[in-house]
Amino acid sequence: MDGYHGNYKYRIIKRIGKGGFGFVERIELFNIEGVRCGEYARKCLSDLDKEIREEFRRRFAREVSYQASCVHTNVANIYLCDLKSEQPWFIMDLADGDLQDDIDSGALTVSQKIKIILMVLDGLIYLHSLGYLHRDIKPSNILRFGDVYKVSDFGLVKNLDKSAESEVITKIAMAMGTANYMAPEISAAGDYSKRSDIFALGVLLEDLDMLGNPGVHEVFKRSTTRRPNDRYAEVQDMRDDLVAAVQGER
Amino acid sequence: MIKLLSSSSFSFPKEPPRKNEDSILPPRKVGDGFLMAVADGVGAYAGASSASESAIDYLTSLPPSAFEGGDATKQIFEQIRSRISNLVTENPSYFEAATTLTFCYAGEYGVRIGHVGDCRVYLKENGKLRQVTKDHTQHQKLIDEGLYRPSELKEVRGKSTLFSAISKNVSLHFQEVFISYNDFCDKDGSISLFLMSDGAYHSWEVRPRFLESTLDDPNRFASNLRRRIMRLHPVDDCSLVAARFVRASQLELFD
Repeated sequence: MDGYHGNYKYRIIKRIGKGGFGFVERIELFNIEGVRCGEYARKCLSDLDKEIREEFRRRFAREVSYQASCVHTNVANIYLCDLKSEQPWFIMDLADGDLQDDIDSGALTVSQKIKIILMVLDGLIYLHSLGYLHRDIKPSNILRFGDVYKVSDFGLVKNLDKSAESEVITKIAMAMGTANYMAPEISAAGDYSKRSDIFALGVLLEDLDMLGNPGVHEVFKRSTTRRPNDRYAEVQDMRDDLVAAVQGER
Repeated sequence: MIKLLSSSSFSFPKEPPRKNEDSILPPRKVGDGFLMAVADGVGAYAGASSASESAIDYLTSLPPSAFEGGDATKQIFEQIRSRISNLVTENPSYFEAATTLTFCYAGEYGVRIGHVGDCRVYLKENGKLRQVTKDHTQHQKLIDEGLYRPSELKEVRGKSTLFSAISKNVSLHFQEVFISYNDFCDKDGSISLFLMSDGAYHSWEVRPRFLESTLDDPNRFASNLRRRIMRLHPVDDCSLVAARFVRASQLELFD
């Protein structure tokens, strides 16, 4: 066994991904009796320089806490975590792929695309209902588990809960995320809101090559318009318009 | 040659037991001119007061030649950024330490202003104060970019969110202004400059007027503004550097 945690133990099968500050492994999970629970993904924080270690441990803990608090079919959930070890980690379902791969394969049908975008929108509606902003919506952060697509990667999730910010403290806004999916107010001034997540969802419609439908094109335009206040205020409004636009194609 | 006629300054924390994260440099003779500055440590991150002190310390160490040349302001900000980046070696929790900094160098022909963040420089002009620097706040930037109208942001949080400051983790974005004395000397040939941190101008902007005789007297301006801040209750640490200069050739008019 490569590790123990509470009543579980795991064996690392292989490394399946690597990012700037962490990596993902495919693991086999067992309970303490040795009964195999199945294969899962373990995301670990890398061994970082001392200078930045504490800050990234804090961010990782925040990512885990936000993602673990989500219980929704279209949000990837977390089962186990260890935030106190030298290299903090968490365990989640092992995805069969991500939306970027599926787009690249060119095999998605119109009907599948509609189902996928509605699943992503449902995931976002749920996140926003908890007061979270995702801030990094893009196809590679939408994971596929069988036929179900789930929003994942909570590395940049922000809690809009105002009670945590009762005092007026000066802070610096930074543009984070992926340039192609970044709303103009993010690139200009690091300003995030539900409407900046909606901008990224609009770009997703373009990625899925759905703009041939004039109704969907209208939804795209209203989601990605330059002025935030001219966009949809809520993902639910965007979803309603999209459902109306694709009537007959589903 | 420029002469200092009068100056006054204050800097105090929002609440007495709290640390003051602002640092100031009252007018200081540097070569043939005067240097003054206000720095406001960014409160959301550890090391705010060390960052603002470090910025002011560096400024006070500079020779007159550091304010000459086309890229003088850039060099100054880059050096300060490097010093602030090194604060983390003193204390690992200072990883994100950041400060704003606004300085004025009143030289022979005019005032050179270097500015990062949301402190402000005002000049007295036609009996009023004119803001010369642009706030590097998220709201101001969003308005400048045409993404929001000012009215749309009036009730929205984030007025104190900056998009630029001096920090290891933020790319340097600064404003540089040179204003010739020919463009803004008062009727009597004097030059009045006011540097304020956001805590100070918050109260000033409530009603941006004082009697002209108050604007002409840095000591009276400082005491009146301080009184107003205390009456309205400080929203942040408050700092002011006010100074009145006169060009040497004009000084004879006062004799």
